[in-house]
Amino acid sequence: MTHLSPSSCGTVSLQPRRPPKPPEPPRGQRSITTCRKSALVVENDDSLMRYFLRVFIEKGFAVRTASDADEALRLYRECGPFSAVLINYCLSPKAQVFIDHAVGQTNGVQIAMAIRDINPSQSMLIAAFDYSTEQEVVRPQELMDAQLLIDLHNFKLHGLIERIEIDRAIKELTPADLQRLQWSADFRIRGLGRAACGRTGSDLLGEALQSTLEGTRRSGEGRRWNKDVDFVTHLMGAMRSISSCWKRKFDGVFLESEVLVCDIDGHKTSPLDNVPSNEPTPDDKLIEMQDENRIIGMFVNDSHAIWVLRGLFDGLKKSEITQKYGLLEKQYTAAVRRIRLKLYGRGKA
Amino acid sequence: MGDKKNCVERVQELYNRLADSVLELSDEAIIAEVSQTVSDPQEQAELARIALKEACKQFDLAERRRTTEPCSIRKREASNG
Repeated sequence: MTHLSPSSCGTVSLQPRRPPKPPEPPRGQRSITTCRKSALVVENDDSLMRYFLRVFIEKGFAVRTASDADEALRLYRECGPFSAVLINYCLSPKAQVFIDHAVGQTNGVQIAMAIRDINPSQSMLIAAFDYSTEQEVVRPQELMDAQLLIDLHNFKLHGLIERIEIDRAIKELTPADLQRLQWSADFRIRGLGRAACGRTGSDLLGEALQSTLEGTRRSGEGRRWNKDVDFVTHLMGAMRSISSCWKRKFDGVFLESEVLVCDIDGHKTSPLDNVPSNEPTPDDKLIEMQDENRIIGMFVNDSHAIWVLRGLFDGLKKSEITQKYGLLEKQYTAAVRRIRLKLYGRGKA
Repeated sequence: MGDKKNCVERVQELYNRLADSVLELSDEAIIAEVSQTVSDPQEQAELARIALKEACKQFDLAERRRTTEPCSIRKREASNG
């Protein structure tokens, strides 16, 4: 059995929103009981074990290792649950008992099932390098949600560990976190106006998560979650970026001159002539022109809110708004709160 | 007030700033505010959870479809760019 400590574990929030996490114990004293992220690796091949250990430690996990089923189960009972359990599909049942690769192997699955009997929600990774597709890996229904590691190309293990961390972060979202995300998504969609093209806040939130999950593939697509920021902050950043992208696409960032074609008589025509325009109709224009006034009109007896609104419309920072209009910080905060409540309430009405 | 484009962008700027301002609220403050704006705050949280679950489901389905292809095909595709 090996007991290793990671070089770093836990995450650091850049926002003052939540109370700071308790400090990590000094380097060298971190253990399975003090580190937030822990893993049990069950593998009887030395070189693979070294690779798995390296990756988990790089990812900030405290790791326990076992080389056979008996030891794995004993460790799980003593130290479980773990943030992740990685088991090789072909596993020796007991120490000194060698695997006969000519015979179908089930020990890895059996130990995975035994662990699931102890803890049905244990996150599980099954390494099955003898197979070329996930569909070929025979496993019971209870293990269909386990992540499968078929090969080690393209940082596959890194991606699967990141996926486990994302799943855990989703599970740990509090009702306040969920409301914060939904509220923020709804405001962003409202800011998009016609550029939202019928999408909802839930669509934006789902897109932000999908993009994060795509980031675990390391294919250059999607958005990777930098663990230096908490998951809510990451998703809110992803929503900001996705909504800007939707807006840019709606506005159509291309030059028509680049796609003009000449006919035999030299007449220039554009293939875009028959494409429906994103330009607002005269009615839309009127509505948009009036929107700013309409919002200000909702706060007719609230001078602080009107000043803050004017500052926000102008893109001023909080410090610039308080300075320009001589507002105290708590007056600014209270005005923003009233604006938030009234505008969100208006959209929900 | 400015031209049409400015007007749209100014309103968008306002809503984006409101979206960001939510991050600075404490858990107690967000729950209190949401209670004042929606009839069922639990439903609001549930809506977000459903959106996240659905995104995971969609991603897993796409992944499963992608990994149905044998490794050799994926490798060949990768090497062909």
